[in-house]
Formats: sequence, structure tokens, C-alpha cells
Amino acid sequence: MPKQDCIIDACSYIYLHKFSFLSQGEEEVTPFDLLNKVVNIKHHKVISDEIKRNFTVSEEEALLINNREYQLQKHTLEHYDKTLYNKAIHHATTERDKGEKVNLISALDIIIKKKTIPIYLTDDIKAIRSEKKLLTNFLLYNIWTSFDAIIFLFLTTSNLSYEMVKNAITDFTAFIYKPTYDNLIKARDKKIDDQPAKKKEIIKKYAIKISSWRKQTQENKIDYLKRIEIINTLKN
Amino acid sequence: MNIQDLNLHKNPFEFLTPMQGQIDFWAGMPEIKSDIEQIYKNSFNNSPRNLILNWGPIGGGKTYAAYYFKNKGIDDFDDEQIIHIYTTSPKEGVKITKQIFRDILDGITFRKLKQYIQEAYNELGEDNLFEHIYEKINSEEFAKAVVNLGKEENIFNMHIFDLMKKYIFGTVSAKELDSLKLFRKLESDTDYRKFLSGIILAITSTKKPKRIFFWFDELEDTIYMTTKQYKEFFQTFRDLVDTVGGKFTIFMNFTFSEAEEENVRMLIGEALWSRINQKIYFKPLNIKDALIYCKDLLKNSQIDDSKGDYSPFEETAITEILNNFKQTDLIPREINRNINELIQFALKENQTIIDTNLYKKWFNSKTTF
Repeated sequence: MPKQDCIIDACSYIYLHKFSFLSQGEEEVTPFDLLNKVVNIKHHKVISDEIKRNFTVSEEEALLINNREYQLQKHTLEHYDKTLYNKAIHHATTERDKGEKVNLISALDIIIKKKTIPIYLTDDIKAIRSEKKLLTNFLLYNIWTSFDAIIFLFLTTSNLSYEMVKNAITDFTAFIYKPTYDNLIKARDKKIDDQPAKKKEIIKKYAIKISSWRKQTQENKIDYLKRIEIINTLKN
Repeated sequence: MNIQDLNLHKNPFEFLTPMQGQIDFWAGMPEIKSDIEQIYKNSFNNSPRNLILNWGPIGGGKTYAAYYFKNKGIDDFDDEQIIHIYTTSPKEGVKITKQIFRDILDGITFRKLKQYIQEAYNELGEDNLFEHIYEKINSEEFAKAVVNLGKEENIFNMHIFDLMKKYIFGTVSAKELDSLKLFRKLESDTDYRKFLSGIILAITSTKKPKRIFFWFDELEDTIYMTTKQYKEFFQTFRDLVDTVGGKFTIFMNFTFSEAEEENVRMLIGEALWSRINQKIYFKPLNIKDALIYCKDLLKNSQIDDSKGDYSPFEETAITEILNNFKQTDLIPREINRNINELIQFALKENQTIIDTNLYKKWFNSKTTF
């Protein structure tokens, strides 16, 4: 049976490479290595460039990244850009703005040409929110985060222990949720530095934002820990 | 019109936790206060281990409790017997073990540290103090280093004393180490944990009992630690709790809005959870408890306490205010926020008594755009 296609973004690619599962008597493998065995990981060239800019890769890995580039088959990027985004990709000022759009186009191209619906793997929470309507308009309901990838791996990989998976959930929580938390703290502290007289109001305002983000982090972690607890029971 | 016209010295309903040094009054929540006091007392009765989890929603009073007990202690023991340390979860880019080590030393202060260890040295003598530490930490070198801190000739020799400081903060050179007659620097996390345990064992070994209470606030921020960082954090806590025993009490404050204990277990991890020997839930209050909380705060700030328990509020008004809270919002921070606003509104309206009519007017002003 052919493997299912999985369109990945640069953030998720990096997170899935950030730690290794240690298997007894075997080589260290990253979550990406395991996922790559069960799905057909693809991304647009824009994403390849973004990965290489933000992540140190060997020459060999750079070649593998290039090989995973998905070539649009049905239409050119310009045509998709004009039809879906009113040339927003053409006019984008940052590469990051392009990334999520070209990946969506790649996924849509797969549906049209290969007549299958790929997995759309992204950890850019803001991007998912902004693109979700467009994604689901074209039946791209299969949106995964790295947490979901771990759930899938735990369900399908026999030598992945419950402890390893729990640790993976902890690590992904740190990688994915901490940057926003840090940014909130930095923004608060900067505002206090800029307007020391308004310190109390600023703390009050940010206390709500910070606690709301932390609550979201806690809820997400509990949700996935509960799921893996159930899977662990089912597997044993 | 000012706050005194409302029969108050000051507005006692603060939205944010006041500064550490400003807290010396406890309002409401008598069971929680009593539970914590009991933990302090138990610590002097040689309880085997004290790792306490305080958990509850944001604004529920956990940080306030830490500040209160840091400032006030408890009645049965004097200031020299209770050493309080308050710290928050280590921030980014910091080695967790070293940060906890430094926070504890900063909390004790170097000045007090040499005084306490000198007391132990004078009481127990060099050999007994060394044995007392060594049998728990299993390191001759670090036991010797701690004992050195209490030797009179070292304390009064500024050069040696400065070198000991450098030793503790990891900046001592090989030559300086030699002049201290020590052979190993503090390097690994295990070294720091052993040395810290040695210090705590020495401080708490005197005849007149001393106990250390370590308030670790914002435990919830450990959710942003990677597995590796969390393991290091847990190892430090485990070593301290297991090596030092009940003379060192750790209170961990953990913010979590749900009442579900099982979810707290999941978040802080089974390993730490299984070592906790008491959990205190800072739950939302019921109306009766919320009224006691408000009464305590108001009574403490009233200019003339004969004007009624709730002055400047009429009892019916304050009861109605509290009755209109969502149950989950009946926590000190939310009560404070709303009543603070109402007091400000009364001042603006030039009212000296806050009755139900004024409350309704304020309430409508908030909901009318």
C-alpha cells in the first residue's frame, strides 16, 4: 500500500529533529526518522530554503531535504497564487508569510493530481488559525501538529515506550508553547521599561494574557497525556 | 472625597499581590492558614519529609501565603529558628541546579550562613559536625568545605572568607583552592546538590532547633521545561528532600484552574507527585467564606470599627455582590478586583456608605456602553 503524503512546515521539521528516541541496542532515531518511515514527507521548495536557513543540516541531509520537495503538477505557483491569494505570495515581504501558503498549495495540488488527501503537518498555531478556513474549504481536515504525529507514531510503532512518548509530549510543549510565553514576558517587561509609571496596569493586563496562554498550554498537554495513557492501556 | 471618608485607612482590596515586604495580614481562609501553620510546627517535630504542594487558580492566594509566612513566621518559634527562602521557577538560559543553589544561599544570606554554621561548629565540634554531614552526603571533600565555613579562624580571616565565597560561587582558582586545603571545586550538578545539602544539614543541627522553609513559587512554569531540564529540576528537589529530610520543608505553589487532582498529577509528573506528602488546595471560596474574607480585610482597615463589620458596605450589599459572582470567580483576586472598583466608584459618586442601590448603579455602569 503506498504511503500517505504528509506536507510539513519548517517549524515542525525542526521540532521533529530536536531530540532522539533512544531504543535499546539500536541507533538513536528522531521522531522525524520514525515518521518518515510511515508517511511520505513532502514540502515546497520555499520550506526547504527556510529549513536550511534556520537549522544546521549536513550536506547529506540537505540533499534529502531537496529530494522531499514537492513539484506542483496541476498548475504553476503563479496560477495558484493568483486564484487563491490574489498574488499575496508574489507580494509577500517575508519568507515566513510565503511558507504556509505554498504548503497549502502543494497539498491542494496533491488532492487534484493524486486524488488523495494528504496530512498537513504544522506547529505554527497562528498560521493554522489564519489558514484554517482555506484549508478546510478544500477538505484539508487532516491538520496535524507534532503532538498528533507522536500519537500516530505511538499507535503504529511497536518499540516506542510510553515513557519515551510522554517525554516527547513534554519536549514539544517546551518547543512549541514556550516561545510565545517568552515573548509575552519580554513584551511586558519592555512596556514596563518604557512606561514605568503604568507598571501596575501593564502587569495587570499581561497577567491575564500570560495566564490564558499558560492555561492553553496546560490543557493541550493534559489532552495529549490522557490520549497516550489510553493508547498505552490499549497496546498492553 | 478620599478613602478616609469611607471609614478606611486604605483600600484593602488589591488586584495584584502586594510587594513581598508589605504583607503582614491574613484574611479569611482559616483552614489554609491553619494547615500551613501545622506544617511549620510538624517540621519541628522531626517529620521525615516535607514536600508540600499548594495548588489552585490564579489569584487564589498562594503567592500571598508565601509572602505572609515569610514575613510573619509562626508564633511558637522565633526569627532565628525559622529561615524562609522564596524563589520562583528558574528562567530561561539558567542552569537549574545552580539557580536553585544560589536562590537558597541568597535567601539565607552569606552573613547568616557563616553565623549559623559557626553555631553548629561550636556546639557539635569539628569532628561531630563533619560526621553529621558526611553520613548523609557521602562526600568527605564537601563535608570538609561546609565545616570550614564555621571555623572561627576562617570566619575572621577576610582573605579565607572571600575565598570560601569564591568557592561557593564556583569562581575559585586551583591555587586558591589549595590555600583552602580543599582539592575539588564545585562543578557538576551533583556537587552543588551535595554541598547544598551539607549546608542545610549543618544549619539545622544546632540544639536550639532551626528549620528552613523553601517557598518555590510558579511551579506551573516548569511546563515550559524540556524533559532534560525537568529531570534536572526534579533531581535537585529529590536530592534535597531525601538527603536533608524534614528539617527542610519545600512548599511548591502551582497555579491550575481546575479542581481535578488527576490533571495536576499529569502536569507535574508522577515522580514528583509521588514524593509530595501534603497537598493544599486553594479552592474558590463559598459565600460564607468570601464574607469572612471581606470582613477580615475591612476590619483591618477600618478607622472606626464600631460602624459595623463590613463598613463602609452594608451587609446586604456586600452579600449581594458576592452572590452575583460566578462560583469559580470567588477567589481573592477577583473579589479584590470587583470590590476595589466599587470603592473607587463610591468615591467618585461622593458616597460614604455602599448600599445595594450604589452597587446596582455601579453594576449597570459597567454593563452599559
